[in-house]
Amino acid sequence: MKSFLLFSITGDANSAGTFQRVYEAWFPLLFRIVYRMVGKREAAEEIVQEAFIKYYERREQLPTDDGLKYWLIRVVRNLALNYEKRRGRERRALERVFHEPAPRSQPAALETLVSAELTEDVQAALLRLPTKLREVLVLKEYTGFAYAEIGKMLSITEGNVKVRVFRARTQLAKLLKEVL
Amino acid sequence: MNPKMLISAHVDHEVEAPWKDRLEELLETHPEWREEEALHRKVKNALAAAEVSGEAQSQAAVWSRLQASLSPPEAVRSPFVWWSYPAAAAVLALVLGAGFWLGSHSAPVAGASVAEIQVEVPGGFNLQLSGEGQLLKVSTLQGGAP
Repeated sequence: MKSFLLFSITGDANSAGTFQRVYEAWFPLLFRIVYRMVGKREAAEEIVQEAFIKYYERREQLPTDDGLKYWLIRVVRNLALNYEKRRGRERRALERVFHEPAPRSQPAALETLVSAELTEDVQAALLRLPTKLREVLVLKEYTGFAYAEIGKMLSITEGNVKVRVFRARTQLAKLLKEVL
Repeated sequence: MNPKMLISAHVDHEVEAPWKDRLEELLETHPEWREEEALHRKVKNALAAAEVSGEAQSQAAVWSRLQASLSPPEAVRSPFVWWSYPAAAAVLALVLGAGFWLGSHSAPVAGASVAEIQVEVPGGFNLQLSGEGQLLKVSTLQGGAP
């Protein structure tokens, strides 16, 4: 199959050039959000890839301005939540089969965080937050959205976003107290 | 709502007047509030500083997979693509049909009657009569004086 790169950039909203520009503009942000939410590179790649496939399939109906950014973030957020749920179900199934807790991907004890690099510490601590707190904090820190925008995106009130961000940071501070 | 929740919002510049001024007064006069704000700020900075390594490699890898899995956007395809196949098939069918029809109607049928006319030709005119296969049957050939 021919590469997208071989096609000319026409400036058309549906052209290969536009698709590539959208990809290059938003991949880093989307990947960072998903990686922070799921903590696995391969999973993050798959989720972002799926989001761009959805974009490709519906590109004619989608907005081209900031609305597209919101749409893409909502898509990766939903896919990441689905991934988390699936992983939770698999873990519970394993626990039932073997009658013992299945190993989690994140460190089980705070002591294991201390020796690691700050980046890994932060990621490990993020994964220990409840999903509801984690997603709000990740959206706040990596998208630059205001509380009101995050609330709109997640269909919760601005006050609720404020509470969740506070709780998320408070819990993270406890988890990271040795390295902060 | 726990009033300390405003501390986190303050770190995000999400506290508006008049609460912002009141909170800043509190932060000046209450060290424990200040400490808590410093902690929230540290968490925020740690999140900002924590880079995702290998992001560029992931970007390239996903792009390659997208190229392999998606067909080129229709908008940049040749405009002939979507209609050329059925159109070509229709033209071909028309040509074949016409050819078949012409072929079946052009060959004379043995024993069939054909138009018969009489014409006068100049004297000395010589016409080769060939029998079957001709569209015009020549039954009488009379030449006048040259």
